[in-house]
Amino acid sequence: MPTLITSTWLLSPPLWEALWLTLKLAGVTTLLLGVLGLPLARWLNATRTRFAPVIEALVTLPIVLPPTVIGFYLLVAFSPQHPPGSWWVALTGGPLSFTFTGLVIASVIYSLPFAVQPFQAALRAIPEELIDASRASGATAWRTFWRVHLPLARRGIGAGLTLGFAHTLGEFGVVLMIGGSIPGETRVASIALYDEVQKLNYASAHAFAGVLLVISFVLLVVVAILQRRSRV
Amino acid sequence: MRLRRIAVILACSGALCLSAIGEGIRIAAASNLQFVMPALVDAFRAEYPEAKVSVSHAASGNLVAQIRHGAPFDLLMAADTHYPQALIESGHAESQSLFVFAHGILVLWPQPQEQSTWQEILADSKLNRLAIAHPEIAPYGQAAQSFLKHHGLWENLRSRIVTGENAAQTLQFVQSGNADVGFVAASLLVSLPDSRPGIEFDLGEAALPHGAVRLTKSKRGTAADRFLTWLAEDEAVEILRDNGYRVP
Repeated sequence: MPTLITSTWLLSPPLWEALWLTLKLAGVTTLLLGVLGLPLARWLNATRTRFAPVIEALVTLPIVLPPTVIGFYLLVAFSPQHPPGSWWVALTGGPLSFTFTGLVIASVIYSLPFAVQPFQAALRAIPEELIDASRASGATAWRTFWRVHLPLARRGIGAGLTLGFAHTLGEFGVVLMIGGSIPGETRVASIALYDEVQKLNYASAHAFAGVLLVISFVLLVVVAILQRRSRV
Repeated sequence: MRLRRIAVILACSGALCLSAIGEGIRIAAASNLQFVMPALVDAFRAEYPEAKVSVSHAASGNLVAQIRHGAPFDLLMAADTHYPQALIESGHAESQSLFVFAHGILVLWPQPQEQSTWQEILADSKLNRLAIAHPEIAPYGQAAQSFLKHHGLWENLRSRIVTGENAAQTLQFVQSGNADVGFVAASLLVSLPDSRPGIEFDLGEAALPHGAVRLTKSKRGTAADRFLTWLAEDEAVEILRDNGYRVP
């Protein structure tokens, strides 16, 4: 693909920095989505509480909400002048807005449903008998989760993680509202591309858009492969 | 029968759309102009009641990209002269129509105490976050950056600076408490319910020029030209001055 090769050459160091930052953000977010999302998905599948639909709706909200709504609420929440933003400042000494940590929190919220829903579907597909058998043989719930749930649902979990990663790559509105476009800290790829368009640098905007398009496409191919396999 | 009804509805809505496009001038305006535009449009329409004006606000760079790809605007009112110039160079705007209708005023806001100077505010060790508009994109950001560089403060403050995509977002960062102070546009402070004072800067006669230009593809050239001419008249100038702009 000669166009891609020439276009990557056009990327200036600040744009490479933005691309690397985006991958780092997506990586950390995906890790947290796995750690938080899997227990959450399992709990949502198993729970009999009356509030389950409410909690499920809360987790799903980011699919429906415009990113500007999430961004606006987070901007207000992160403000160091009142809680919860002020608690964070008291705890860590620095504010959450305009920081990488702030973006990670925003991304986990923003991408949660994209990971949790595939997780739920994958865990639900595991035959009850296998879980009962595991528990009957004396395995703890924790051990059952590691030895039965995880191996059997691994493709669905892989799809959830890949979707969470891909969705974080595509984040724009939320970051625009709480990021402040700081190079190496919050200027992610989508923001850098937006800035290039604002500067009327269409050549580098093209190069950047091309790279993002290819990365996103490859990721979605991976998701499709994982989902096809899990159907067999 | 049902299909026919749908066709009728479609035709009517199409006609409505066409009639909306057929009348009135469409102005693409920089986001820092959002509070002054309604006053300008009202005054213009008081003089020319038959005229219809619609205004769309966005970051100037986005407006330029949209205009280059066929957005149906008649005029561009930008926060600088660089964006109109870019449109003239690419053949999307009429070079002889370009004129500077106002100059922006840069303000350091808020001023914590009446007597504190900008030197004190910027030297305060408690200053955690200073908000400016993106220097490479937004004219107010560029003005703030060159001011800080001129006074040798840029390197020192750099790690504490956060950048808004435009003048409006920069103000929003300060207003929400996420930044302590910011270099903002006087035109946005005018309409703010928050009446804390700020410090205005005199950056010279030529600073922060706001350029207006007529677009080549405009289908309502006469009406658009009338608005541009009116923009230089006393009434418009007075409105601009009342709303945080400088008109020499």
